[in-house]
Amino acid sequence: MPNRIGQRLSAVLQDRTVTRAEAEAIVQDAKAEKKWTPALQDQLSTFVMKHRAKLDPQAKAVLEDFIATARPRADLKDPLTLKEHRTDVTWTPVGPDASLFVDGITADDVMQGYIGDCYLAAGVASLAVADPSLIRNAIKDNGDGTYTVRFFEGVGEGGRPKQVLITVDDDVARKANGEAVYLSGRDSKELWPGLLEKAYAKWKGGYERVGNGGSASDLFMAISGRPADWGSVKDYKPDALFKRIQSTTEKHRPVAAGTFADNDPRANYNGTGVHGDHFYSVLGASVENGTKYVTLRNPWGFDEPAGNGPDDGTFKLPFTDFLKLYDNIEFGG
Amino acid sequence: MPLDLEKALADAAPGALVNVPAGAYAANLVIDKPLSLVAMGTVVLDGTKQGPVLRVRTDGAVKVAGLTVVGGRTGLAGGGLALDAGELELLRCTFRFNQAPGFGGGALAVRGSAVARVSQCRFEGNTGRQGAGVLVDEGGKLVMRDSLLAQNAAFEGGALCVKEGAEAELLGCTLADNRVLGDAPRGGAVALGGTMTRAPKVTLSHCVVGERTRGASTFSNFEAHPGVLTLVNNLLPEWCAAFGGDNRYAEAGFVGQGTEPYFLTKESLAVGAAQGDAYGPSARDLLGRPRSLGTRPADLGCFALAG
Repeated sequence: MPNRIGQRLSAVLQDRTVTRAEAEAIVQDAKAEKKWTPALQDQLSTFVMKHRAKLDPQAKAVLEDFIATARPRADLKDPLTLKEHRTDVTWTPVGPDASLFVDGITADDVMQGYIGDCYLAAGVASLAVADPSLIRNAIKDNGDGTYTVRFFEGVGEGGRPKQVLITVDDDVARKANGEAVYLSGRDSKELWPGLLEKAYAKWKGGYERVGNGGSASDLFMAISGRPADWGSVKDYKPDALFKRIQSTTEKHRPVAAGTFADNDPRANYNGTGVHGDHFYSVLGASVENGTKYVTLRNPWGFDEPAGNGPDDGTFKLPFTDFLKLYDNIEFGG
Repeated sequence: MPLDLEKALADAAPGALVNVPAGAYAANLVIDKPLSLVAMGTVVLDGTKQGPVLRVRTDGAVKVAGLTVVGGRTGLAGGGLALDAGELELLRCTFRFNQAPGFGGGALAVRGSAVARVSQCRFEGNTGRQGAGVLVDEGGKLVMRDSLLAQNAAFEGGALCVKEGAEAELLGCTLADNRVLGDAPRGGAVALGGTMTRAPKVTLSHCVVGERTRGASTFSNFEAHPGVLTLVNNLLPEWCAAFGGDNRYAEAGFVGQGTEPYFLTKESLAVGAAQGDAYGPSARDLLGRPRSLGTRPADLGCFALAG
């Protein structure tokens, strides 16, 4: 038994009764494990069954209680395709109080990480607002610390879309200061945003593969199984575009929009509070006092034009400014 | 008064032929019905960086012939031409200086159920993240012959990037002086990238890949989820010799001067190297010249022997 639990079990297996204090020490070691795996659970269960006669009744109760309540968690050993993007991070589970969803599913849960997949993060937040059930139905908790995410493949390619099931564990990549590197929940105990990105990255071949450009509509199709639409903002007559945003969001379909590149002469982002070369969730469209507005969200979860309340990334932009600052727009079906 | 292209396309009946008079047009056009768009003389469509120059999405067949497509730019896929759905025949067109900085397919993106059949076209000086010349993605299909992909630059797949479930077949093409940039460049000429569930397929036959093609590697096939790369009777750079098979490995032997720097010299191993029936005596190169002289087999690549 080369692991720490094994060493502890071997140490207490003297020709005497195992005390409650020793049992509690075993449990402490077990809780300190990075991940309480089914293999470790079996190891401890076997010990209790095999050496029942040597256990003090209180020690036995302590161990049996732990075995009964501890939730074994599978360790999927994150594939190289996920690990190779950043080697300066450690992958650790969120912890025992992690939860797939905390207070439901909202756009505000989504915080983009240190990777250039704003199209994906914005798309995830758009889906959260448009139809949280799409996300809820896409992620299955396997009950062992792993989660299976269902995507659709081949949407809009003529045939019937095929389901793709990708299983990931909830290990999160963190920098030395504990900060999550990839997409995460605003509440660090909330798992769903990170799991969605992790599964998408695993499916597509790694974080490097999804962090090098892409489109939100691909995500929309992959989650909903329905065709999406995309185009340049200027493809539309302004009134038609406003109505399209309004009707699409009112139908609970996701919308995301991308800005021009930073060096693009068509837009100057200085002083606007909007960033070039970035994707935003489009959460809705409204008319207030005769002025048209679009509600947007920065997938960073902060950083927005001034005068929009708390800095949570969500803001209203006059539609006339939207037309000037945004280059392309994607509509989920 | 120049033709109002947007109106002409809107007014055209399905299956119509839209002739475009010679001239330069600022254009960001959407083709959403089967039709033919044919240049009458020298026609330049300039996207003026306002979006893709052409966007094709129809359940039918579209033919585009003789156009020079420049200045397209999109944050999505397909700076010059975004083929989202339908079958496109692209004949004798030139794509130059188009951009797709946010995604890919600087000149041309073929996605979803779309199929592009490209013949005697040029893709030159385009840029994009993935596939600066052409991006084929999400099940799209590309059949390209007798075409030139040169001096395009991307992060991944300088000339061509083929991704999940997509297929590309290049016959008698020349790929030269394309390059990849950035922190993790892949595939100076061609990059393949599959997913856990779908692999792309790329076949190159009777092509010349120029010795001046630059990048992390000439061909990049994503190791974790590789595609199917088939190379049949091409002239490839010497550092691709590990591919083996019936390919030839040497400098391409371009003349490198004048207005057509990718003409073959007499010494090039591409001269008279065609096999089988793919390039018989009637085959023509990008300039419409016979690919073979007399009974000699045709040359590889899109240009026949210089002179």
